This record gives sequence, structure tokens and C-alpha cells, in this order.
Amino acid sequence: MKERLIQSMAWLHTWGGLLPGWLLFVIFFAGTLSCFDKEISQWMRPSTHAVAQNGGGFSFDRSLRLVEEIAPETSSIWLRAPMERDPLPIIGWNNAGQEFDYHYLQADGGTVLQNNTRGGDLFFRLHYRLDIPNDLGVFLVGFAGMCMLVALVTGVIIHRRIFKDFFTFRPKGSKQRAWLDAHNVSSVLPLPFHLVITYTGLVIFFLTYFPAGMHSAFGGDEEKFYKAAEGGFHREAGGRPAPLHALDPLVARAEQEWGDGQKALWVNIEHPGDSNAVVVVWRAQPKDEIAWISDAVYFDGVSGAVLHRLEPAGIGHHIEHFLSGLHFAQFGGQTIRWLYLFMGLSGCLMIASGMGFWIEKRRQRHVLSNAAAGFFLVRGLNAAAITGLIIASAVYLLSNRLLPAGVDHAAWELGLFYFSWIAASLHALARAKSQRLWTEQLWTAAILWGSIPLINLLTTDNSHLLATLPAGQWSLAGVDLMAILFGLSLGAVAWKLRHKKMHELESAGAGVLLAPRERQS
Amino acid sequence: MLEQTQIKESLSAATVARKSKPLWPQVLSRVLAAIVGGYALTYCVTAFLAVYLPMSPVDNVFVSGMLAFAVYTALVIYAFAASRHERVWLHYSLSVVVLAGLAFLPGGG
Repeated sequence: MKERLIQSMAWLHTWGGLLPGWLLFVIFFAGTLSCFDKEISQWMRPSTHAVAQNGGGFSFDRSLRLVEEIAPETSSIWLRAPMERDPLPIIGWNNAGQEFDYHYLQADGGTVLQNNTRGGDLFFRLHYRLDIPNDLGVFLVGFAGMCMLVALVTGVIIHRRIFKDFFTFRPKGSKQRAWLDAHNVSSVLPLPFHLVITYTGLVIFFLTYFPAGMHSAFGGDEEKFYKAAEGGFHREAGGRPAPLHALDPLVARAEQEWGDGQKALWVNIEHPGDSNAVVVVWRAQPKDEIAWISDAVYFDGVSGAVLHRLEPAGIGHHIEHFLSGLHFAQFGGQTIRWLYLFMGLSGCLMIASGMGFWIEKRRQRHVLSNAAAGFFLVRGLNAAAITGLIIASAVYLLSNRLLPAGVDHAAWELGLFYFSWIAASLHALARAKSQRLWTEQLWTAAILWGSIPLINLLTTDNSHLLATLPAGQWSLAGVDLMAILFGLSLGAVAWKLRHKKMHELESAGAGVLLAPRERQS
Repeated sequence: MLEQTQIKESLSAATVARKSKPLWPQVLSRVLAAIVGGYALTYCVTAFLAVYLPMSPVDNVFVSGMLAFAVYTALVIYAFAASRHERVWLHYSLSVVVLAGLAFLPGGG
């Protein structure tokens, strides 16, 4: 009975993890890069780096004047102060029922940044919605996330000797065993991280995936629920024109109200220029808080009187803030960000080695049978999803430095990202039968990532490591250091695989065929 | 017992020889029970908890929504761990009817 349970759990682990495997790798790798999304965005705007060094002259009132010049008729305005990780101010606005329109400002806060890039936002959007504009992407990621959660739990169930397995790593053994051992090592030690990151990632979108509670407890009235949950303040426009109160004094009052040296991050103006204008000052998340708690003070936009203050969230809402805060990793600064990066990489390795184990285990059986075409297709697609994405990501960063100044950077960088992904995928499919498929792809990825700091050195004056390290600009330097780390690790894996010949692998495969289930329990 | 033996054999190595009854209908049944049945029941458990947990309605929605993924995981695993797939459908359908009734019939919380 127990044996049957282990076997059905092994089946669930294999297929639940494998079928969304490509999707999971994209989500995990893009999520790992998203640990540095703001840093990547900053890195990809080299025109702002010299300006940033001169220091900015940011003020909310100054940003507001820019909005009034560009979009004089608008019903809602959003202004963001510079952040440590994202030092450029943002201005945004929308009219009722229209898309939110936003722009980054130059580092001195005086002009709108021209020829902007999508920066690290591409990886962030790939991570949580596969860069698909509608909800389909969010649901696909949610489905893959649930498969991941099931694969993690069933993985624990089938590994009764989980700790013994952990100390078993035989990279010099057969290739298939090395894949399995790599899978065990990269899964077991960071298992708490994998569980937490998968669960909290799902929790962030719980109202999209399971709106059940809103349907039963609030009769499906979304507006009523959000009003009760957020506790905000809203009033309609009065219809008479009235001058808007200066913003910076209101920001200072809000900061005084919060105390503890807490700073404002966003200012939102509803009905600007109207007698019923409202100015909302939103607090920045303090670095030492995991829970991403929003706090805001609402002012009358004409008199400057305090209208409303957000109430502290209830216990359930607070736990949700805590769990999503664990996922967003906006606390603890650089240390936490690097820790998440390494944990994320272990997750990428877990997924990639799990897929690698599955395919190498079936090599002998399928190569000899007439299912060989399907086998090679899957093998090629594995490389397309794994090394293909790694290659495309490096090309994306490199293109930022190598494209001429005149072209539309956002469009060309994105185009080259997908073009190089397709090119790497075609190579993977063409070479799917070759034993050197993985080494060719891995070397390409290693060289591309390793060249990023060098190309950066050759093409910029203020943004390369020789300039950013002495100046202590860790946000910018972090991207180059991450590129070096990726280049070296990819090169190390390629170097390890270089001697594995076809016949070694086939003899390993034959051994597997004789004892197919032995390693499972 | 016959069913168990079948699962065991086909789940282990690639057995070429088939027993009298094909395996795929019950694998398909379990996959559907896990994904579709599991989702429906998780939805109903969440809806039920959001009404009957002792906190404020907002906190109830948050707590029940956060628990949903643990519930769904457990239901997916049960769909494959249960000895008979017909039993999975029976348990899930009965629970859906009872919980949905309790959560939605009184007119919501």
C-alpha cells in the first residue's frame, strides 16, 4: 500500500514538474533576474549615470509642473520621488477610463527621459505574466506555480531518505546520476526557500486565482471589498476651478505625521485644479520591514487640511502583506537581494537538472525505439527553454550598449531579445541529436554574459566597474558583478560537460535500463 | 487489487505488455479530478471559510484566500493517492455541494 502511494507520488512529481518545466524555468530565471530588476533598469539608462553623480534637484512641485506642461487636462496625477534603487523620478497621469501614462524623468528631475528602455521590467513581466498583456499570462504562471507546489510536496514524499540523498553527489559517476544528484542537492538545501517563494508568489494573486471569498463574503462586489480592505478616501469633483495647494509642504506634514524619519514615495492628486481636489501622500516602505504596508495621508487639495488617514490593516490583511513582502524582497537591501539571487539560481538548477535527469534517463530506451523523433524534439526544446533564455537575456543587456543612439532602444532591445531566443532555439533543435548540444549552448551563454562587463567598459564613460566600484555605486556595479557570476558559472558547467562522450552516456543509459526504478525511492 | 497491480506495473518501468483493462481512462479521470475537481472544491472551501471564519469579513477573505493554495495542493495529492478514482469524484462532489450550499445559500456573509 505504502509502495503504491510512493509510486503514484513519483508519477505526480515527474509529470507535474516536467510538463510545465519549460514554463517553470522561464518563471524562475526571469524571477531571479528580477531580484535586480531596478538595478538592471538603472544600468540600461547610461545617459542618466553622469547626471546622477551630480546630484538631483527633485521636488514634487517641480515634477507637477512638468505634468501640467505635457498633460494640462487630466483627472488623476501620480508623482514618484527618486528611490535608492530606482533613482529617477516618475510622473504619470490618466483620465477616467484611460490607460495610465507614465514617464521617467532625467536624474535632475527637470526633463522627461528620452528614448527610454524597458530595462529590468521585461524580466519582471516575464516572471509574473510571461510578458502577455492580458490575464492569460497571469493564469499560466499560476498554473505553473501550482504544479511547482505539488512537485515540491510530492518530491518530499518520495524522498524518504532525503537527507542521506543530499550528501550523495557523484559528478564523476554516470551522467544520468550526476543529473539526479545535482537535482537532489539543488532541491533539498534550499527547499524552504523554494516552498516559500512558490507559495508567496501564488498568494500575491490569490484574488485572481481564487476570488471565492470575495464572491461569498462580499456578494461578488469587488468595489465594496476593495473599499473595506484598503480603507481609502474618495470624493467626486466639485466642478468649480480652484488653485492646487503646494505639494512639498503637504509631503513634509505627512512625513512629520509618520515620524521616525519615514519618507514619502508617491504623491497622487485627484481632480487637480478642482475645488474638490485631493492630495494623497504615500509612504515609502522602510528597509527593515518585510510586510509591504501602505500608509497614506489624504489632504484637501485646496486648503491643505488633513481629510483622512489610512487605518492599520487587520490581521489577515497584514499576513498577506507579510507573505507578499517575503516574495517581493524589498527589505534588507543588497544582502537580501544577493541571497535571493543565489536561492533563485538554485531553483533554476533544480528545474533544469530535473528536466535533464528525465531526458537522459530515457535516452537509451527511446533512441533504440521508433519514438526517437519525439525524444530529440523534447531534448532540443529543453535547451531552447533553458540555455536559449539565458543567451537571449545576455543579448538583451548587450544590445543596450551596442545599439546606436538614434534607434528606438525599447523596441530594438526587445526585438533582439526574442530574435536571439528564436535563433538559439533553432540551433538547439538542429543540434538536438548531437552530444555537444549543451556544451555549445552553454559556452555561447558563458561568453555572452562574461562579455557584458567588457563591452560596458568599452562603450561607457561612467557606468563600468572601474568607475562604479571606486564610487561605491553598488546598484550599477551589481549588474556587472552578476554578469561575471553568470559567465563563470555557465562556463564551469560547460567545462564539466566537455569530456562526456556519446558512448559513455550510452553505457550509462544501458545501466539505467536494467535497474529503472532503483534510484527512485 | 487488480487495479493496484495495474498502476504499479505501468507506473514503474515502461511495460510494453498491457493487462486486460487499459490504464489511461483512470489516469485521465484522476488528472481531471485533481485539476478541475480540485479547483472547484478549493473554490468552495475558500468561499465557505470566508463566510464562517471568526475575523472581520476582509480578514476572512485574505486568510481563506491564502489557505486556498495549501488546500488545492492537498486535493491534487489526494486525487492520486486515493485507492479508487471513483471515490475521489464522490468525495469531491459531495463536499462541493455541502460547502457551496453553506457559503452561498444564506445570501452570503
